Amino acid sequence: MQLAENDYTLQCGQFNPKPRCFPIFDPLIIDFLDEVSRSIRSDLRAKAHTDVMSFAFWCRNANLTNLSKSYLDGRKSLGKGLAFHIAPSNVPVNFAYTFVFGLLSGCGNIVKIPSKHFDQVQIICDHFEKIMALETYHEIRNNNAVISFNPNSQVTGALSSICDLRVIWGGDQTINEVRKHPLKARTTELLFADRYSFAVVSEAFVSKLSDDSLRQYLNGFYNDTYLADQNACSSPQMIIWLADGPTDAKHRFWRMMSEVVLKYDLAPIKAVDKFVALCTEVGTNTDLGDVTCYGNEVYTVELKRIQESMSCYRGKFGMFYEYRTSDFNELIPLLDEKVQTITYLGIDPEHLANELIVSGITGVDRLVPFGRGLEIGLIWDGYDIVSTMSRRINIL
Amino acid sequence: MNDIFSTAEPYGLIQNEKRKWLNQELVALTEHHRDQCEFFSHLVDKLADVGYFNDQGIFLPFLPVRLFKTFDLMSVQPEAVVKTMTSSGTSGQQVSKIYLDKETSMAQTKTLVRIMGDFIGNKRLPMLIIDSADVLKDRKKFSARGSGILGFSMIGAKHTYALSSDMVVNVEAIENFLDQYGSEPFMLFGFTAVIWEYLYQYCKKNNLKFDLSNAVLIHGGGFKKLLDQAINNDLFKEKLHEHFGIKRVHNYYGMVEQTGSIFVECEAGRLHTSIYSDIIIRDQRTFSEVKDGEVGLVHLVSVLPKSYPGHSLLSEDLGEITGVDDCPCGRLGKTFKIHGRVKQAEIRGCSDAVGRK
Repeated sequence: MQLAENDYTLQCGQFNPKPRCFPIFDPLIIDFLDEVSRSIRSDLRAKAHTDVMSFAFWCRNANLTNLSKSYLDGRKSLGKGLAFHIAPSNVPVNFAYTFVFGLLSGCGNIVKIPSKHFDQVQIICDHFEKIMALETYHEIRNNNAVISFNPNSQVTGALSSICDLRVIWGGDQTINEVRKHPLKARTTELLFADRYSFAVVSEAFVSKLSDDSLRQYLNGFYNDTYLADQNACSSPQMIIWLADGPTDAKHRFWRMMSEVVLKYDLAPIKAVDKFVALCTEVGTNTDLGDVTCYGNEVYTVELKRIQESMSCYRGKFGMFYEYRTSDFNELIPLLDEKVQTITYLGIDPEHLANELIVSGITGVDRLVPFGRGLEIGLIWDGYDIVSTMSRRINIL
Repeated sequence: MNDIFSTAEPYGLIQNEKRKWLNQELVALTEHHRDQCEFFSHLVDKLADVGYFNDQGIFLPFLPVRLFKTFDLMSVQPEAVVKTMTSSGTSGQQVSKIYLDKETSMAQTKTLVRIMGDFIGNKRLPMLIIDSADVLKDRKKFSARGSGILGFSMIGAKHTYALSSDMVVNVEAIENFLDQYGSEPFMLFGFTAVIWEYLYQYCKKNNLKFDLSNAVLIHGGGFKKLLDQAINNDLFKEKLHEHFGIKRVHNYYGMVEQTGSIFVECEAGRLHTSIYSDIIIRDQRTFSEVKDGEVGLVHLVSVLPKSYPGHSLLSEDLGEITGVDDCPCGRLGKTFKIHGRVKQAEIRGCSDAVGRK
């Protein structure tokens, strides 16, 4: 591989095209991450960023040890080899999560950060560098690097041709671009494509909630949606109402939601974008039920029927499609492989999961309660990440 | 068109009276477009109860201008379309398409003539156009610049283009024009950014001077391209006066989605609404009307658009009302100020394609 030193900029660690592997959940790695966690949490700069603090919190010993339990069953697993990660361009701390997933899986990692500048990236890299510099962790430093480079340069191709695992975040367009660069025969990929998510809500459950309880759930829903401009892969685009209760449950839900949303910064351009999306739908779709606008805070667009698949109904900045049914099973055939997360309120997720398995569809990877939609972890987007990024020595 | 259109002065009605007449026309136009334009009828039917369409005491829906980029919106049969206007767009962007039939096209021209007459008199002045004749090459399809030039050509005479095909100052053409017409009042017309870059900056750089002291300069198109050079309306006027001696300047605000009933800057420096149109400023969170002096999204209404549903439009500009019936120039109605296009915002999301249109 012909890569010159000025083809990339090192943010932390050491560029090693032939790293050594570690066992999965290696104690050295867990200690390292715990120290990074504490280091970040004592940094004033970090305290200004909730995403950085959440990341640091995730990396602490207690959490990692807990996560390791289901893997330490006597299996002999270690990293697959060199993992080349391409972080998404628009989620600042994602590069750190993908790096940590690679470390926990035992890979040697080269992680490309977003081209856009983010303070969060700088802060986290500073702490990685600081702890990597300690003699105890020199093995981690020697086998891992976080770098930046011009995505249009030859670096993508060069790293693709030598890595044992390629991890691509950022959606279909990026995946298709990067896939133009060939891999070795045994190299596998971990791909985070464009996904679609929606919510299922029981009318009966909502109608029995006190105002305070409902408000709490709605704050959770706000975190799943507005906090990410309703644009994260896990953000619900549609609400499926289970017709098991009084119909005014819906109105109560949205009226209270429009109050909760007052804390959202609806910039003029977002209001315009949202209004354009609403007019576009209303102007062209003749199969709509009620369309309600709670100021510009919340738009709800009721569908009389869902064409082919759900994933073509996308909102933005607080525009939600709605569909009412007394039998959720009628919708299961419409859930294609794009569907990632179902956020639920007032239904039994175990039962739903069983229905999905029985149906044999290719979609749905997560069932999460309101408020936990964006919680990232080692089982994510349908992948058991550690299993995907590691290999297992089989002894007969 | 009815009585008021033919008989009243373009700035002769106090706001309350004007609004009464305007509302009648707007309600009729809403009904007309609902009957004739399928897209519009769906919108109006579904959003009939939406609060902000009902806050003027009448039912007045508004369309976001961006819809004209995505959809072919017309309230006439395609055969009746005599002219299609398009907005200027940067490469890769879709442009707005505005379909005019004979009636709407004529009404727009008539209105423009009436409005400009109030500022520069009704005599057709010799007109020096700060652009190249190439802008009007395709007679069936006009960009915003082409439409502007064609429209304003109706009020001028002896049309002369100041720039060559390559957008370079045509010294000979300008000197000829000034020899013949420069000692009497004449009209200078062009787009703000074109005048700045291709006339002013070029002349400054090459030490070219022309005596334009008898000119009345009409310019529009906005200052967005000049923002990064920190050129605003005042500085623009100052520099042009300094270099060319230009004393009379009238900026105008308008858009290809609603031509004819443009908003012209008076001698006191304020943009005026004529009796044919109005400006309402709306809050982005509720779309309800803000108080005078507060900044919000600019909603434009006009009695002219009949062949396409453009009588009530929500722009992507921010502005504020600066006065009502109280301008020192004596013209009645609202005056306002445009702050510029809404800013792009950082949008969150997992996909790298976020923000790409």
